[in-house]
Amino acid sequence: MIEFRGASVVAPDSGAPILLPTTLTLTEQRVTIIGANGSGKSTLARLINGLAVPVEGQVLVDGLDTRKHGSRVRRRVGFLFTDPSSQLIMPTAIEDVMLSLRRTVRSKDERIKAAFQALDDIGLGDKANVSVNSLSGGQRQLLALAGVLSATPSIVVADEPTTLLDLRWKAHVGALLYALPIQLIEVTHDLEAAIKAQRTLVVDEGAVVFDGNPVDAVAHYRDLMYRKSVGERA
Amino acid sequence: MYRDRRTPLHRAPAWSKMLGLAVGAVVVFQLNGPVPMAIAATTALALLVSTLPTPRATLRGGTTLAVFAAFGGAYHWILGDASRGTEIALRAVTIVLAALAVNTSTSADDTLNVFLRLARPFRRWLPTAAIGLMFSLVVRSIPEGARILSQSRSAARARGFSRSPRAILVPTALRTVGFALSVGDAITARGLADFNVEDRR
Repeated sequence: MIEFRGASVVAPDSGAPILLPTTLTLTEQRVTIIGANGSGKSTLARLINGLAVPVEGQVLVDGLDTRKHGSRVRRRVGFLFTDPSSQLIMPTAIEDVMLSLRRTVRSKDERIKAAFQALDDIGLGDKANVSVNSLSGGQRQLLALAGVLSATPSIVVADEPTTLLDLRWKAHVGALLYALPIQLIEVTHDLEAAIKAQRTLVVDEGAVVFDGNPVDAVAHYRDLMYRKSVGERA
Repeated sequence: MYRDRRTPLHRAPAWSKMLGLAVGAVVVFQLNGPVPMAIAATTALALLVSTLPTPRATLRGGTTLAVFAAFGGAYHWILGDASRGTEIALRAVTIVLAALAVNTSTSADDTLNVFLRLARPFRRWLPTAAIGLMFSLVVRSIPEGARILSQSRSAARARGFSRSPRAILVPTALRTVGFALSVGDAITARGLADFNVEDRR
């Protein structure tokens, strides 16, 4: 369970608000976050993994404060970035997954076995010894996901995981994410994907302006964007 | 270049290969004359072949090596010392071939373990896991840096600034910093920074 208790974030240099005090509890298995660029939706997502910490208030994951127990929170919460290139550290696919396993699996043989299994599960078993630079964008995102899942998190936060992918990979990665048997919090610009969730948050100018049914949330977001674009033209 | 194989060099412990490479490099610098250097180069080539490397990656690494060795050797040939030119070219070839043999037969995971073990006595003062990770990141950043440079060059050309170094270098520098920040975020998100803190406890 994820709890935001009056959590707010400000820009470190200017002190300008990025996320206004936010209070909500996320218990649903599929939650999507939508909003315009720079609205604060990624900041909201980053608070869950402890990548960002609130200046005021608290964010709790399974009762653990992300500020005090960052390490334990990150064991529970995996994070998938938009660009997988920055997420992949080791030279080959298998080695990158093995890096994720270092904290939990001490034996090297066990690590190799678990890494192969993680790659097989995601459909990259035949790419185990391939350089990460030779993989396509979609394969890299799958590899990043394999790295995240191999650490057996109970929550995955995905920040626009399909934005850089072509239609085929977008559908494939999207389907894999939605088939996960764990809680998924996805930040997305893909409104078709957003309505597949059980709950959707609309973020605008650092505040959650709608929270509820995905179909209504998308309608609210479209209306909001329409009003803004009309306002800009006027 | 690493490939999972079952060759004797693959089975050898990573530390012994690294130590062997360091000692071998010292010995190679003590050798004089083209004949001993040719024997050393042949031995290094045999070691590399024994690891069953992929032809493509070996060719890519080998071409760069051949160009550098040819330049070094040619310089001394031009100066009139053919024997010294051959010796220098073969020395470079020997060391790089031996390094390729170690690289091809040692996984990054094993390399990381060696660095972690070496740094272990200093774990109270040094972030040992971070040091190991740093070496992996350096290797990983080279192709990424080349990609950013190539994209910045194309963008500058598209805007008609192909002759302006500033139009290429400034975006390259800024995007490289951006990439470094993203990698930092990813390391934190994957809990690798926490791993380091736990390691020091």
